[in-house]
Order: sequence, then structure tokens, then C-alpha cells
Amino acid sequence: MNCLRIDQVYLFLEGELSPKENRSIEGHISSCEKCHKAVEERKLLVEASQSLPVWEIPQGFTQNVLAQIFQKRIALRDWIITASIGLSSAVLAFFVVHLLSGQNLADLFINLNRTVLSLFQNIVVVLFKAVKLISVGIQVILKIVSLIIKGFASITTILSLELQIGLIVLTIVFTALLLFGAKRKLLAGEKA
Amino acid sequence: MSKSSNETKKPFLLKSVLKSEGMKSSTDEDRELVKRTLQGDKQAFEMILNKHQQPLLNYIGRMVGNRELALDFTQEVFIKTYTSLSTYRSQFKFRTWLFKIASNYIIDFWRKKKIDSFSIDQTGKREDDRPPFEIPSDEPSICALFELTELRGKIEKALDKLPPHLRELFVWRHINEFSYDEIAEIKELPVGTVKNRVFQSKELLRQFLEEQK
Repeated sequence: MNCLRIDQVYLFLEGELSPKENRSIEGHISSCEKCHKAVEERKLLVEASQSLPVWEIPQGFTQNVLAQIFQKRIALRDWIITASIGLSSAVLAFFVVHLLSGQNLADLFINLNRTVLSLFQNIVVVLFKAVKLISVGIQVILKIVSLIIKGFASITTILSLELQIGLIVLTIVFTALLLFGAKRKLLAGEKA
Repeated sequence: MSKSSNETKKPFLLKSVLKSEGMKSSTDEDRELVKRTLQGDKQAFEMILNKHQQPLLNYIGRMVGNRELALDFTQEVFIKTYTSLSTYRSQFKFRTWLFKIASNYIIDFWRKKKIDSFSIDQTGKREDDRPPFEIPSDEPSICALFELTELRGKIEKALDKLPPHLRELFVWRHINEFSYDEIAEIKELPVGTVKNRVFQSKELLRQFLEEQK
């Protein structure tokens, strides 16, 4: 037999050959040092490869996967049930009102429609106004804050450190006096 | 040089015969579990998970090289498998179908990340599928230089350097212990091509081990 090819070595090691081919190879490697060495070398590689450590599954992994799969389905089912109950309740309430008030069904439906529409329109208007007011308020506050910051920035560049300290002290004193005066005025008002 | 079927009763091949018998019953069990899952039996899918999560994580882990990512991918593959379970055809092995989903998932991820997915997404014959080469006369012994534990560590490191299309086949063959037929079914490649690529992957690993020594 000729020297082995690499594919023959692997097929031999993996037990993929017939007994006849196997015996023939065993006979050859017992007399050929080169092929014997090549087989031993690859045998170690295959053995080590087949016993590589496993990647451990963390605890609770299976339950997480199951929850991911089945929660989605339960959520969808819950949605359908909730929507059905809501719709049935609305229809039932409609008929109860009809029976109690004795109103014509068509009139009742039109009235209900008008009420819902007007409620919706009012809510939309109020919401719109509230959003606009809040956004204007935020803009004004932001402008004032930016002006104050700019003012302080220019003061620090124009005035010397001593003057800046003096100005800050004066501002604090002025504010304190203002607050004190306001308090006195308020107390005087109370006494009167 | 192919395995002759009329000699399978002889003791030499007893191990492989027993293995194939075991695989047959395992395949039947998978089909039964899929059937029960489709009928709404959640426990049946839990059994599928318990049976296949470890080999799947071993494969995905070696392909992406990051534990957290590998766990996320394994979870996503199982979710995808569950949602497309009605498309599974029982004439195929469940685990080949599952690993095909996993392989496509990894290819899609690499495509989205603009990583070269060409090297793993190959179904055609390539130039490097040539028959394996001769044994050189002055071949050094690399594996014998290391203790078994050390060798395993070196192989793990060298696996990262292996091109993805070869790494995938190596992992399936030697870590997941798939047959060449199963790998050929997953990748829709001829068995001969699969064998050649697995041999190539091992020879490349030897080269990388030589560089590490």
C-alpha cells in the first residue's frame, strides 16, 4: 500500500472506513514511520476536539425562553378577551339605557354619538391649550436663564475680581432688604 | 473508499450501528414532541428545549465567541423555531432543521452587521474543495507537545482564527458530533465536499497550533 493521504488518515480515525480498508491502513502504518506519526498526531487532535468544554446553560434559561414564547401568546389572548368584554359591556349598557329611558334606539344612538363627539372635541381643545401653554412657559424660562448666564459671563469678563465680589455682596444685601421691606409691608397690612 | 453497507453487522462497526439506532429513536422522539407541541402541549416544547439547548449553545457560542450574545441568539433561534414549527416537514431530522435555522440566523446577523457573511454562506463548490493533500515527509508533531487540557485550550483559541464556513462544519462534526450526512443536509452540500472541508478545517487548526507553540 502507498503512503496515506490526509483524508484517509481522518476517515480511518473517525471509523468511516470498511474493515478491509481499515486492516489495510493498520498494516501500512505498522511499517511506515511517517504515516504512523501522522496518524498519532491527528488522533490527538481529534480526541482533544471531541472533548472540548461545553458552554454551560445558565439556570432559568429554559424558563426564560418558554416565558418569551408563551407570554406573547397569552398577551394576545388577553387583549382579545379584554376587547370582547369591553364591547359586550358597551352594547349591554346601551340596551339598559334604552329600556330604562324608553327612548327610541335611533335617537339614543344619535344622542350618544353627539355626547361622545362633543366630549372628544372638548378634551382635544383643552389638551392642545395645555400643551401650548407649557411649551411657551418652558421657552420663556429658558430665555430668562440664558440671559442671566450671558449677563454673568459678560460681567466676569469686564469687571475685576474685587468689583465682582462687591457687586455680588451688594446684590445679596439689596435682595435681603427687598425681602425685609416686603415682609414689613405685609405685616403692616395685617395690623391695619 | 466508502463504507460498505453489507458489512455493518460486523463487530468493527457495532458502535456506529448502535449510534445510528440511538439517533433513529431520538429522531422519532423529536417528531413526536413536535407533533405534541403543535397540538398545544407546552411541556413537549420544554422537552425539545432541554434536549437541544446545550448543543445549540455550543455551536452558536463558538460561532459568535461571546457568551451573552450566544445566549440571546440561542433564545431567538428557539423562538423562531417555535413560531415556524408548522412549516417543519417530518421527513427531515428535527435537529438538522433546527441547526439550519440557527445557521441562517447567524448569517443574517453578520449581513446586518456588514461582516463578511460570504465565507459562511456557501453552498456551491469552491476551489478550496480540492481533495486533501499528501502527508509531508518532514511533518512536525504539534499536538504531542501539549498536555490534553492545554491542547484543548489551544484548539479553542485557534478555532477563532478559522474561517467561519470551516469553523461551522468543524463544530458540528467534532463538538456536536453530527454525521457527515447530517451536515450535508443542513448546508445542502454534497457529502464529499463536507468531508473535505472538515479535513481542511483540522489541517488549518494544526497550522494555527504550530504558530502558537
